[in-house]
Order: sequence, then C-alpha cells, then structure tokens
Amino acid sequence: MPKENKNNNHHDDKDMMKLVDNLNRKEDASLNRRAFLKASFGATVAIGIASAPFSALSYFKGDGENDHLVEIANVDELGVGESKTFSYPTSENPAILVRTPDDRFVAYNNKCTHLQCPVFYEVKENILLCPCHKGYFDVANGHPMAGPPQRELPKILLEVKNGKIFAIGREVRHG
Amino acid sequence: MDRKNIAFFSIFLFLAVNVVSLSNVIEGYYGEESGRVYLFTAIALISTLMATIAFFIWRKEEYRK
Ligand code: FES
Repeated sequence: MPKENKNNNHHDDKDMMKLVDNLNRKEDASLNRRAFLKASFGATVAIGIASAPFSALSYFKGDGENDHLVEIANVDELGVGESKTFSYPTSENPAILVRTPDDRFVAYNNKCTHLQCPVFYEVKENILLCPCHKGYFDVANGHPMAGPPQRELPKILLEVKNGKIFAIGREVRHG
Repeated sequence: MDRKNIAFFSIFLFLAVNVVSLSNVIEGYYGEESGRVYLFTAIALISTLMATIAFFIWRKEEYRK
C-alpha cells in the first residue's frame, strides 16, 4: 500500500511540472509586453504621419479666394425673419442669408461644423438649427450654443448698396 | 528608472502627444487656420521622430543577451 502511494505521488509531481511549464509567466508577460509596445509604437507613427497630409492640403488650398464680391439678393426679396440660401466663396460652400427679427442681415456658411449637414434658420426661436444631431447656432454671431458642434459657422461679410446685398468676404474663425 | 523603462513609457507619452496634435490639425484644417495646422503637424512629426528613437533604444536594451 505505501508503495502505491509513493508511485501516485510521483505522477502528481510530474503533472505539476508540466503545468508549471505552461505557466512560465515571466516569459509570457514579457512577450505580451513586447507585442504591446510594438503595437503602441506603430500607432504613434501612424497617427503622427496622418497629420502631414492636412498640412499639404491646407498649403495648396491657400487663403486667396475668400474676398471677392458677389451679389446675393435684393433687399426687398426677404421679409423680416426670412432666409435664403446661396453659395460663397465658391459653389462648394453653401451659405444662408438671414434677415433677423431686429431687421439686420447676417450670413454664414451653412455646413454644420459638426458633420457638415445643412443648417437652417428657425424663425420661431430665432436660431440656426442643424437637424442632424440638434446642433444650435446663435444667429447673431454664428457661434454654437447647444449640441455637438464646437466651432462657429464661417461668417460672410455683407454690404448693402443700392438695395442689393453683396457678399464681400468671409471670416472662417471669428469672435 | 533605467534607460529601458524611460524609453518604454515615453512612447506612450509621444502617442498621447500625437493624438492631441492630430485632433488640433483637423480642427485647424476645417477652421482654415493654416498656422495651427503647420504648428501641430510639426509637433506631431517631431514627437514621431522621438518615439522612433525611444523605440530603438528600448529594442536595443530589451533584446540584449
Ligand atoms: S451635423 Fe450638425 S449637429 Fe451633427
């Protein structure tokens, strides 16, 4: 009987040895740590390089096209609280002209600064509203008031001459 | 902390710098603020370069027999 017991113990030990082999934790941890660091380094390089194309694009885009004169509307075309869409400075930049309840003209590019949905004028609340994710912009200055947008709408500078409204320039960041 | 550990942890620091720079670059690009775009692109490239140096320092120490 005691002999058998001893034999059993021997087996147990062997099995344990195998398990311990599997659990060579130091090596395991260091291999994972190596892989983790390599992946992190790869991400660092990828994210770092990803910013370069934006520089190139903004260099080639230039700033020159923001200030030519375009006729948008006649003053009597819009009643108080009405709005009209147009494009400025190029046909790819949709914009909205608003005659506010206090009888001023204001205009902004109306691509939402969140994800570029068109922004509309809500006369009841006297506010610019982006319906996509309920972004609200102040009509008086184009700055975001509520919802996801963080940046103001580009402001279009206006001039009223001889009963006509002209766009004369644009300020992308303002106020 | 030894060289290896400093190199190891600095890579995560550079990763954070790059994430912040990229978000600033994108904001600057859409806000047409070319100065901001260039500044943060430069920061991102420098930090990428330093991360590369840190990575090679770490690799040299890590695989030294
Ligand atoms: S696109 Fe305007 S709030 Fe999201």
